[in-house]
Amino acid sequence: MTLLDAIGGRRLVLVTGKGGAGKSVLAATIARLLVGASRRVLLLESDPRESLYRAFGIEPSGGESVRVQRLLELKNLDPRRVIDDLVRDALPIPFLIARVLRSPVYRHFVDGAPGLKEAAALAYAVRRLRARRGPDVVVFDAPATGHALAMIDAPSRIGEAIAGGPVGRMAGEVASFLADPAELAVVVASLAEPVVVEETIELLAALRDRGREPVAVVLNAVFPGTKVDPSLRESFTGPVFSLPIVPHDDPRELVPALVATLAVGGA
Amino acid sequence: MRAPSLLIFVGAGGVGKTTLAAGTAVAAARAGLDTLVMTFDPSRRLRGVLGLRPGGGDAPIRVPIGGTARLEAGLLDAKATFDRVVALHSPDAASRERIYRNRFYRDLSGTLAGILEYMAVERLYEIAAEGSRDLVILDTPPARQAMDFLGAPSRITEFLDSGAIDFALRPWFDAEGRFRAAERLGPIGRGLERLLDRIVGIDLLRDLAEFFQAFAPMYAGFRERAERVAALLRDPSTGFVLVGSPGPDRVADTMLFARKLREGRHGLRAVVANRVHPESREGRAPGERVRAWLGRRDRSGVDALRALVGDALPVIEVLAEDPPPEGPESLSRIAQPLLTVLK
Repeated sequence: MTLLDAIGGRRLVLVTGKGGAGKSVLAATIARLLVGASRRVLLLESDPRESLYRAFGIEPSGGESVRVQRLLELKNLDPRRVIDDLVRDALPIPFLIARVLRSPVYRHFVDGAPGLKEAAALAYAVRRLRARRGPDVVVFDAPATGHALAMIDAPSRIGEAIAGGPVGRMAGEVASFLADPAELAVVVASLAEPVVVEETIELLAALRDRGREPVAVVLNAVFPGTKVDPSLRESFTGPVFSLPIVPHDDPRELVPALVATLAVGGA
Repeated sequence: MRAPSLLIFVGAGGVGKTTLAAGTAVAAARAGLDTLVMTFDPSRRLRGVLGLRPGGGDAPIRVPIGGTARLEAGLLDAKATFDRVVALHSPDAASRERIYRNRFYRDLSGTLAGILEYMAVERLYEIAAEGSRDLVILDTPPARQAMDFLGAPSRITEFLDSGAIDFALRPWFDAEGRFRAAERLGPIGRGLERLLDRIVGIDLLRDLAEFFQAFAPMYAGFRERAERVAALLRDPSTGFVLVGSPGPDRVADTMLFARKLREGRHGLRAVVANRVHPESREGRAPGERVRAWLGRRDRSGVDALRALVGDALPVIEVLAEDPPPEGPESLSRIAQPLLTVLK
């Protein structure tokens, strides 16, 4: 089974894992793999510190969409803008809009409400998928472990706290999409080091508790000859892929090498 | 610069900050300093080494490492710290309970932007007041941005103290907690009621308003405390250690952190390039080729870092180890080069 087989026809791929475990490079690799299978891809990140651009050897875009190649769009999304737009739509009185958006209470609520920004990023992804002539699949370079779990919990938490209105509706859209196992593929990035494997196993358990069994685990930057930690195999019955360290001088060489490995590679 | 009595480890996620913070604590204790290390989210192995049990609370515990100086370790617990600060500043038990019961406080305040980082420093403030150690080491939550940690005190006070709260919340709710916008603004007020309900929901707004009302008697005390916490972060005896990865694509991130620390007038004592692969000769076996490349890559990254950091600040290299350091011996060993920061 290849990683593409594991993802199947699902339309939203969330790439998560411990910080520093190679999520961004993996997200970029998965995007390229999907493009190779002729799917139109939107590759999304919501970290204000852009990092996906590096994998393609292009300049950071500051939030604008970039057409990396014919079937691949790259976007760094500021989720606060998604939420601000919801407020704008709901508040027709201009001075009130300005006041609300500037208010530290509002800003802190948006920044601090668990998973709200992540839910907004997901809402953006779902909206793009449902649009006419939208992408076939969204690959989301999702936040690291703790934030990713908050993201998955967010729609129901927000639904509890905020009954209706545009924010409540947004949460509802996302919740129904996330609940469908035929739509959502979670891919967990890890390293082969025991400390990272340990945290990965905890993340796998947390995802399982939420009914989001990942479709695959990918070990990044594995040193030649390293065996997969048996405790990982005990905790996860799905496919585990190992990606080797790829010596390279130009950052643009890395993703193609990884794509080649995964295109044929079995678990 | 004075020898630090408080050393704060900052840096991006996954660079090995927590391991280095713990290692420095062990090394410092072995060098004769009574030391306390507060960690944010240690791995199970590290918890084992330090004797920390999850659910064991946040009180420091003694770590037996031999020698004459004392080593203690503690887990940071933002909620427990916040509860204590509330208890300290509430005028009476009823006010305290009102806050504890408030839904906003319970559900959202735990992840209020900057609250984890802020409570970490509050905890330090509590500990510094005890004054019984030579050195306190703080491991911080992995930051997406340097300002997460550094800006926390001012962000919290801004949140508590904003004029917008008065306008938006308090006058809109009467003493019984009923929303009374219409009485304030007439027809616009009625529209505002409907709109606010549509955006955030009246219940949440009410919880928020109640939170601020219940918190009102504590504002002054909390604010003063936040100012002292901010001052602690800038004190000459508080040092920062910035931990980064040696890879060339990580250098820019590390330099950004360094700049933020300098701009905030925080005492950066050293930049650590962690898990540096040693240079080695390229052989034919696949492992050797990769090793040689890693050595070259890390060398060029560390060189770039040194060039950018300049002479003002030490750049300390900590070599990568395989297997990774786990017990007190190896932890102390990898952190030896950092002891210079304690002078």
